[in-house]
Amino acid sequence: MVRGAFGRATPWLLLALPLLVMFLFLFLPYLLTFFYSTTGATIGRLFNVPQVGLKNFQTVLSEDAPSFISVIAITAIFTMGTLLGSLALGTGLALALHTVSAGVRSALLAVYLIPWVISAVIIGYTWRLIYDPAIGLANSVLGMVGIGPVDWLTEQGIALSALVVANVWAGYGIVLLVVSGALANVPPNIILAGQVDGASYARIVRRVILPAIRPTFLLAALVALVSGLNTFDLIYAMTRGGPLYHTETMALEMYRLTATKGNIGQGAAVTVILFTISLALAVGYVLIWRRENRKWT
Amino acid sequence: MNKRLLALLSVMVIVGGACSPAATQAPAATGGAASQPAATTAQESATITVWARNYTVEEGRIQPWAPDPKSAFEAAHPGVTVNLAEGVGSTDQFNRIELSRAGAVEDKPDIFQLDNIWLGQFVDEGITANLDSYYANWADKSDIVPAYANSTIVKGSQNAVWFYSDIRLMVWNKDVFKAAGLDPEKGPATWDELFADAAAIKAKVPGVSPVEFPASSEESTVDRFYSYLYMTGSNILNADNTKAAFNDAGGQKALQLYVDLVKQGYTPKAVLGETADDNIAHVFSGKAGIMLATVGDGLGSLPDGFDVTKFQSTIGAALPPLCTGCQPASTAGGWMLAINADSPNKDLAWDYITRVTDGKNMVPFEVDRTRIPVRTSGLAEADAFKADPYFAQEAEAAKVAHFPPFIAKYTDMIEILWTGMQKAINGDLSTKDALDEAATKVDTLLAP
Amino acid sequence: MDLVRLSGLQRLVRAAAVGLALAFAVLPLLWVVSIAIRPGTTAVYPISILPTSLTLDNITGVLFGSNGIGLVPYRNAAFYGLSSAVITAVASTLGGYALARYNMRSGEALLIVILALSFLPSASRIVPLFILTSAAGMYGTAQAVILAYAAGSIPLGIWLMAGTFRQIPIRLEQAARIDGAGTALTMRRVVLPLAIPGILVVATLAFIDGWNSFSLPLILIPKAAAQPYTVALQRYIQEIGYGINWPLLSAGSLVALVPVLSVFAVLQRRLVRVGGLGGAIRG
Repeated sequence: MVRGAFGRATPWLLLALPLLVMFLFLFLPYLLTFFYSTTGATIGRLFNVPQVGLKNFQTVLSEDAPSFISVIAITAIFTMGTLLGSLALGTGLALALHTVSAGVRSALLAVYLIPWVISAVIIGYTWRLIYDPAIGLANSVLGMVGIGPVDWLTEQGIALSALVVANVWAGYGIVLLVVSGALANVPPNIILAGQVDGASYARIVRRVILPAIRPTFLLAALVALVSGLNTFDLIYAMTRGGPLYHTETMALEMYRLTATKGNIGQGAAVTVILFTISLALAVGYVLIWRRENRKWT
Repeated sequence: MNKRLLALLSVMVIVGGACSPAATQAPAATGGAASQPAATTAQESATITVWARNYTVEEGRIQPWAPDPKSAFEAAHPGVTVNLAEGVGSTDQFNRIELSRAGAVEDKPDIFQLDNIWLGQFVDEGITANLDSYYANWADKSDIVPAYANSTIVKGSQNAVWFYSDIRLMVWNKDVFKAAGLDPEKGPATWDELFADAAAIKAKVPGVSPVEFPASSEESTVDRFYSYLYMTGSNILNADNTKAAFNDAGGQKALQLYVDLVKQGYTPKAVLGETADDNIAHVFSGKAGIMLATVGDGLGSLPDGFDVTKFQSTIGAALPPLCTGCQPASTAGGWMLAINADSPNKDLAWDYITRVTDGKNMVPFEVDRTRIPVRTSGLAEADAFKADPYFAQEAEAAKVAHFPPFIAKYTDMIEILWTGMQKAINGDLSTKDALDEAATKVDTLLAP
Repeated sequence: MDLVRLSGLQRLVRAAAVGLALAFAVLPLLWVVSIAIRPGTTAVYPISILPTSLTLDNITGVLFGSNGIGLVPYRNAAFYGLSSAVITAVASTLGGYALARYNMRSGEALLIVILALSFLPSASRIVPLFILTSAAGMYGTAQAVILAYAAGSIPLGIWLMAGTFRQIPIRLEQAARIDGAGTALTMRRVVLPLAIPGILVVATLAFIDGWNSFSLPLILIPKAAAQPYTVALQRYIQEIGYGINWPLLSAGSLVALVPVLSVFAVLQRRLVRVGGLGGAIRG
């Protein structure tokens, strides 16, 4: 190891800048959210706020338009839909690309990754255009085969599924990226060995490749899960939580209570609940990571 | 060691942050006191900051603030300038006023424009200055239209000055009517005619929504509904604003109109996600036939490419259609001006307000934006208003206009009401149950 | 790699999958382009799949027209993104080096905690950030927004730089020291040049995140003149008389895509390689 100019303290001095920035603009805000969730803060009353204990949580949980159950259900459906879609598409593509030549793979990868670098809100506008009842691509294509126009984003039963498709489009790239990277690190020998034994590609994938990339796969799954949970910009740009709250996930409800309704205390309460779920997932990742790591050392 | 330090620092910051009202608000008070003019002298120098609604300060359009009232005011008070700050939209206006009071933003207005429905809440929060002493000595007080004159009194004191008003009319797209074989100059006068016209549009003009009204989770939903509530003889709240009144027989009848329009396919369920702005855009572009109620006759929301002639040939306007045995009704809305309770320049602010709201000064702006004058002297200028093809209808509606209750919890109350309306329209509850549920919640909200 | 043999049927399936995925990835964007380059009057129902006439009016309209948002929002986004990229790069390099090279007792734990922090919902720190910046008198300032961006990008940046530094053999540094070089020289001549690819990736990712950010500037930047394009484009969603102004909104989105796609095209190889680094967590 390197001996620093300031002895034991050197690494901490180096870390001072990043830790300070993260503390003030990342850690502290989360802490403040916890504090505000137990107060009656509103947009007109930010300082000198009254303590209300758990009343905000009570109100949020007993709210009936939208009901908390429906918000949880919609968040779960949206997140799981996004997760499964991104994992399937990203992993499937990574496996398919793994079998083509490096040059072709590189070119294709570049195209597939384009949605990954686009702003979520621009993705929202893009897909809102696709789903537009009058000039959207979806209805135009349907029109070509004689099916009447569909109200993708205003029909209560369809809107959520339409959003999941858009979010999968936005998110499969990161899964593709991470899994491709992992595949590149799989030692070619074991694949060769499998081939020599006469196994088909499908079997090699199932028996050899997937187990080999398990830690990465779990990482990709966790990233996709957490990002689905936290999706805000895209839904805001497409439906704002409508029609009639049928696409209102927890992130949207948090925004609505805070910015539209002006009730910061209640918005913070929803944030705390969302935060707790995300934290549980992050801890879960750490535990899995350590378990997988121990296997390999 | 580090973790504990971090924890300690966080606690300090939080506690410090939550207990610093004095720290943020004191500078404003002391700074203000220093510049408070004892009397209007030639040597004083001050700025009157005005927070206005965006379209009242739009460049290239007629403004009530300037040039005349502004230059006259500045001439009368050398050294004092009027700062017409950036105008914003409705929600942003509400938010920035609240944020300013909370001390979160630096800018503080002397005068701010407020939607009449915010008056109760702002008075309750102490944002507005008490104007009793100014009103007492004000000659123009008698010029205010009687219906408006006392509506600025909240908790026994005057707190604002009416700026301009608007009422609600039903509008329709004449081209859609022609295509449906209906007389384009005649809108439905009764609910029965409304349904008949809607049926004709639905049958003969595919792809067009016959009737639209706002039903999304925001204020215009209840505002455009009120006229239909009032015409049945119902009301929003009871006489002393302590209990809900909208769930009586009249209220159910009014909401049933909405429910039936959706059930019979004359109004798409998509209106649950539409605001009044969306509706009127559809009427202008011919995607909708009739809008049940809009601000004025729609002339104030002209899209690009429309001039008054095209407007008159495309859009028709009339009072909201009547149910059998009902009385004509409309809803009055509009904007007021108030003085910031923290302003150090209240006298100057009042002077400017009186100049701006003068009847004759307001007329050009009101004509341009199809608003209703709140001054008798303004209403007397009937000729000027002829530029609005439907001014006669608006004047008629003004006579039967009702005001919403200016209570402190108005925004919370309307949220309960629109949620109930949505449940009925969406079919989740029967009309009676939806209104009863909402009424119970409103009663709890308003209980002392 | 070429060493996997696929049967004819498997090749067909692969081609179909790759092709469909390509269509899925590309068609939505092509549609936006097609709406942006056709005259606004033709963007009505029923719409033809291929445009019958082309025009640049929407693009010039959104940038220079009377109903446009102008160049300023794009300039703002670039400024915030670049500033955040610089701060993130510096902070991540320092932090990543510290975690990679020094045997810190809490090093591993710190790395995990930092990464876990980046998993938390970014939308939920917006309101507290608003309150904090108000209390500190920094509300609405560019500094506040830039630091907020950086704080969001630093966790991943440190993680990536730690990985990068771990891949640089320590013998090189030790060799330089044996030759008599001081710390500064070692850094400048030996370590940093090798770390540049990683730093470039971290900076690029931070820039992209800043350029794309929406919910943070939505709340933290009230003044219209300082808003980035993500917020400025919102006005086309609520235009009276149009409903949504798709021609201008599509043109505005198109303009926003150009810088980010160019950066991506140039650096895509490196980004992919670092993404591969993510696959080798054990490293």
